Amino acid sequence: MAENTPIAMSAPASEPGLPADAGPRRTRRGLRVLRNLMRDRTGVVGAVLVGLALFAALFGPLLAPYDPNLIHPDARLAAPGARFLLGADELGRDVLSRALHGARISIVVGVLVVLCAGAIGVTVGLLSGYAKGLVDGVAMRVMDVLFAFPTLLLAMAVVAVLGTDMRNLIVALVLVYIPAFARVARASTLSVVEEPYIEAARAVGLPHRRILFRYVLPNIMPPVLVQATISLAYAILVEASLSYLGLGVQPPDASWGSMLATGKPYLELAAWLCMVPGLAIMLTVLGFNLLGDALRDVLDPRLRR
Amino acid sequence: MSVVPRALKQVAGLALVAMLMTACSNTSSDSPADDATPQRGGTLRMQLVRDTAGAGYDPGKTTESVVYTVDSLIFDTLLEADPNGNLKPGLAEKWDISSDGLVYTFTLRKGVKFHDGSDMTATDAKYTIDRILNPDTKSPRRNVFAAVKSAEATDPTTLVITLSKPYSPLLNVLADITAGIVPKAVVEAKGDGFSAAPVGTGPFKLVEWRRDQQIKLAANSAYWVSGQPYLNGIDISFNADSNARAANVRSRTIDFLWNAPPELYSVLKADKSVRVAGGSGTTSFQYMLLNIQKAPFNDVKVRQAIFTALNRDEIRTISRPDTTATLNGGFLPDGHWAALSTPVNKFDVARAKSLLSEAGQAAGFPLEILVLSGSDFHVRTGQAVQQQLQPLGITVKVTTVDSAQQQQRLRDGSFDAVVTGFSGTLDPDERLTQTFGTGGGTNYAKFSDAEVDDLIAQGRATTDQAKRADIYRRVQQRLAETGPMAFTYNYNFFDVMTADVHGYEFNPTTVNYRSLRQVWLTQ
Repeated sequence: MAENTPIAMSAPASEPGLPADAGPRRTRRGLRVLRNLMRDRTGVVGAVLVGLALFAALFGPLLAPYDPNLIHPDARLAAPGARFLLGADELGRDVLSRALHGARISIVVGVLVVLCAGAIGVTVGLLSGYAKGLVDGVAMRVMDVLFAFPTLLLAMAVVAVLGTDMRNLIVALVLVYIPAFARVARASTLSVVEEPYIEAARAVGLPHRRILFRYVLPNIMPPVLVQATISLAYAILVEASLSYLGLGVQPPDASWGSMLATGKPYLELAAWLCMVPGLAIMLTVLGFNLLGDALRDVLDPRLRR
Repeated sequence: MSVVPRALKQVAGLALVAMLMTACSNTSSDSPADDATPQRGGTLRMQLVRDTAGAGYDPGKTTESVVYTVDSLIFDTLLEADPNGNLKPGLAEKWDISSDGLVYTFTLRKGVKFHDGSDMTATDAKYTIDRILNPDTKSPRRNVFAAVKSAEATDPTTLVITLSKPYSPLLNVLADITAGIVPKAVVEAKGDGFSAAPVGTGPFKLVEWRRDQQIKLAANSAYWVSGQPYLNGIDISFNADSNARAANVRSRTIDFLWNAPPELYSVLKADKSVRVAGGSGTTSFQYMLLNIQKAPFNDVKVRQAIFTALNRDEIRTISRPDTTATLNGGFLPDGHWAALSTPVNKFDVARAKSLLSEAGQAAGFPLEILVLSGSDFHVRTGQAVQQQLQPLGITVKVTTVDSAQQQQRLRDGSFDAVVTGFSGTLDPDERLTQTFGTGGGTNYAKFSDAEVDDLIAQGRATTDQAKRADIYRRVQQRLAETGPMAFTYNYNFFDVMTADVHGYEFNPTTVNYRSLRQVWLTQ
């Protein structure tokens, strides 16, 4: 217990009153988190799956044997084999190439959404948790309104209003995921600002901005990080759902969701059309979830046994 | 920790139920042959895609195939078209055309009753036609009746229609369900409420309509075809998921699947537990329309280049290999009396390229194709066209839109191209007038060509079918060369039913399900 110093939502107990942003300390903490993560078996599985998905997203288009949109009229619904490793779809396009390109879309959308929603949400949460009072009240009621809508419904509404394309899809998902980040960030901020070291920083006369970004922000990051991993998984899932409904990428471009949608009628004739993107979604989402769970276990002392 | 066992229990329970259901469905496999004596009774469970009847089930206002389907069960027409398109008596027992082709006299069947028990007379038939012609009705069929000068009921069983000029498609127009005879007294009493509670003379009467959920029809015991209908009623449900609909008929959750998904044709055809009806004989066709009001598509050479660059056989194979026939030239399939069977725009990329440079567009241009989301086969065609126009330097963007957006953009003229389809019409005149005639209701590209208009008028004024066929071939030739659209392929709907359903006759002429009156179920 002794070496696992609590880091999230509580003061560094051994050195009361000292700011938590000392450089070497942070690196050491990062290493420790990584070490603990690697000790967690589900964490390893998650990390491997996420690694694979990231690899596919980064290098997939280079590895793809064919142009993902190239139609081979003679190869309609061709079974997996030497010519098409994972078969061909209803237009005779290579499923493997499309799945690899789809990985890029899914991951890029997921990462972009989480980065943007995270940046906006954390800023909102940080400010309202720190300022409290009216700012907090207004900001949080706005977040409540956004939160009140079911995720998918809100995303669909936004896409329906803005029109269907990739950029609008990302905008929609960002909007959907802001409240989750804002709430997590606010809750952590509320507890962090009560810490003696923040009190000390105030007493020293540091400006608000410096307190916020140097002392509060780093200390609320662990739960935000967990939220980010979980949100990534869901963002990928929601992107797939919207593409499945025809509200995401436009044909002929491939995304896992749209591949599922167009492959669905051929389930009996050519099961690989759905199995490939379906497995890809499942494993990626599972990976991010496992990683998120493991991260939470490692980062949150209260959950540790 | 107790979550897992509970979930397991649920799964086990579901598996048990599934096993029981499979066991039950296997028991009734033997069914008598179709020539067996019809058995009475039973309710046919029929599944359609969506309840599109925004305005209800008023025949005079029908534009949509689901509404056509339901209306053809509730209403009758003066004439009926058999599956080959031949006309036979319906509510009119016989008819007579004056030698100048201007006066049509119909003798109506006696003793036909509306669902409310009142008698159907020539007054109702006259009222039906007057109502379509009345601008206040806002009937989409008004212009196909434009040649009608007057309709008069000279006695309770005689209807006389006088035309202002010869109009040979009239009988076909009267056989279309949109000319279903409505009861004058009821329509006048109910006004706009009629479409939600339609009353006709048809084999089935409406019992209940729960929008988007269910339509309950009961047999009309006073139907004028003796002994029919055999069924006690029809329960119509809706399901937009094509896989689910196909699974429903295969698992006997429903008896009759309306307009089954084309992707599943080969699977359903191979399934011995169900029967497939239809799949050929319709005049429905898919097309790519270019916006000829907009550069560069206003240049006929550009259009010809695009038409020539399309490999229609390949489009068909990629888009919808089953239940289709390649079109190149006319919009009527081979075998139709007015079909143009010689290809007009033969696939030739080199020629397409030279046409494009003649038009000064050798460098190519961007082209956005609108396709209806959910209409997978149109989307696939869009993608095939995208690849086929690449060699010309035309960069195609395929955009899926919903039907409201599509209608809006077609009306506003804010589009480059659209890939979609038209369902068949009993008479070619209707399609030509509406879609290619100047000012036609579905002439989205505002195509206007004196020669085409003139030929359409000639076709209407000619009664001899051979002469009409010749005229229509000339129109189609002209359209294929200079028109606003490329006809890609003719496609056919098909229905799927369980082995318990007998006597169904698929009618490819228009959307018409009246033959359900002669359908019976194994009891």
